Amino acid sequence: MVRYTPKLPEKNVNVTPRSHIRELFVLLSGLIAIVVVVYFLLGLVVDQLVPYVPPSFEKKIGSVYLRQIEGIDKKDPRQPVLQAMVDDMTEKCVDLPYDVEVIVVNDQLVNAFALPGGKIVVFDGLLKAVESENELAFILGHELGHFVNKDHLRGLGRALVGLSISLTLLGTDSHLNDMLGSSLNLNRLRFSQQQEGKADIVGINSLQCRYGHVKGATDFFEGLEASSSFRQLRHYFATHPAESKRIDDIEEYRIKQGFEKKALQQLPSVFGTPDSTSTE
Amino acid sequence: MMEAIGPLLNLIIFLLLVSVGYFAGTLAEKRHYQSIQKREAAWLRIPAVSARFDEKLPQASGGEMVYGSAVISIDYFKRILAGLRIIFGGRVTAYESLIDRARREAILRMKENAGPNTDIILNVRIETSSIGNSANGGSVGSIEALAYGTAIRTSQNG
Ligand SMILES: [Zn+2]
Repeated sequence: MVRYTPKLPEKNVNVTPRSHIRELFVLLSGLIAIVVVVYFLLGLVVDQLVPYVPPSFEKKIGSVYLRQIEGIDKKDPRQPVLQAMVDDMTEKCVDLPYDVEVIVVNDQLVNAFALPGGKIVVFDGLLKAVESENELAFILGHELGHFVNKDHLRGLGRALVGLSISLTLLGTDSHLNDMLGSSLNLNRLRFSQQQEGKADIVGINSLQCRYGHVKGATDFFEGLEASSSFRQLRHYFATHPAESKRIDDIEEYRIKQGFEKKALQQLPSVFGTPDSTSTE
Repeated sequence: MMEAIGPLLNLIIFLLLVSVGYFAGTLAEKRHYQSIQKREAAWLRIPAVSARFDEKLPQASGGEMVYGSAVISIDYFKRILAGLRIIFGGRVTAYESLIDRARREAILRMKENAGPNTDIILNVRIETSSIGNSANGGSVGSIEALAYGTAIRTSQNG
């Protein structure tokens, strides 16, 4: 017969004495490091592949994006004017292997962006904010610059890479996926300052080519800077940061190239009177 | 700026939930362990054994089934920690204390169910199950431990 002597266990073998905070920190930083490495490695791969993407494939990707944009106004009277400007610039100033189409979207966002497949999306809010044809030509030239440098494909590749990582790695664990997915989102469709700078150069060159001078190139940024209360609504900003640096860079390039500043060209009457919130 | 606010808000809410989960969870666990240790010492006199007793127990005046169950919920911090473990593998130490607490609490409740006049609880079995799975993601919500056995009373104790 076994004699039973009751006693409490001296230590708890079932619970590992370990700092959970430390464990969380180690695991989380490990995960973030892996995600960052994969994101940048795949980003590099995308950069290498970008020059070989055929325009036909680009068009397919672009149409997927285009279907998600609401409020496309095909009958907007300003569209033919914009289209004519872009056609003129692609013919004489900017060398692109395909035609570029301008799409006007009826939305108050002050923004424009380059979509794969040679589409420049311009929002109504931006068209109301511009005050001269030169200013508008610069913005269009800048977007054409993104096509020339294939930035629009790079942005797309990174976006796909980011999305794939968060979905594959984190599976359906929604809490973690939400958190990491949203932190990737922040950088997803944003071009680097370097890419914006290069696109600005194409923009200013096409201004010089079209008008023989470059006045109006920095108007848009200066207008935005002055009306800071309006800034939060200016979506163009969110994707185009550090505007004062860009103004300086444009000015520096202008002086180096010896580009002059002459009289501004008025906007055609279909654009109506300029938005009162913009300055100059 | 505008599109950055949404994810940023999500991140802040997430961090808030994690820290609330950590501090509230740690406090609850500490208090629970204090209670468990105190009661375990108090109920130490009654043995709960897993052995089956086939031979006759002549002095026994009564025997009945007694049981105790406890449900312990995970907190947000532990959920995140376990979520990370799912990626890297290894021991899910975050859940160990939950199971331990649930098991010990269940045994204590079983003893409390049997009452102080019990001499011994035989044939004790412990079962665990996860209940209250969260709707999104299917991760564990809380765990239940159920302890049951046969309480034996001898005539002296009535
Ligand atoms: Zn740009």
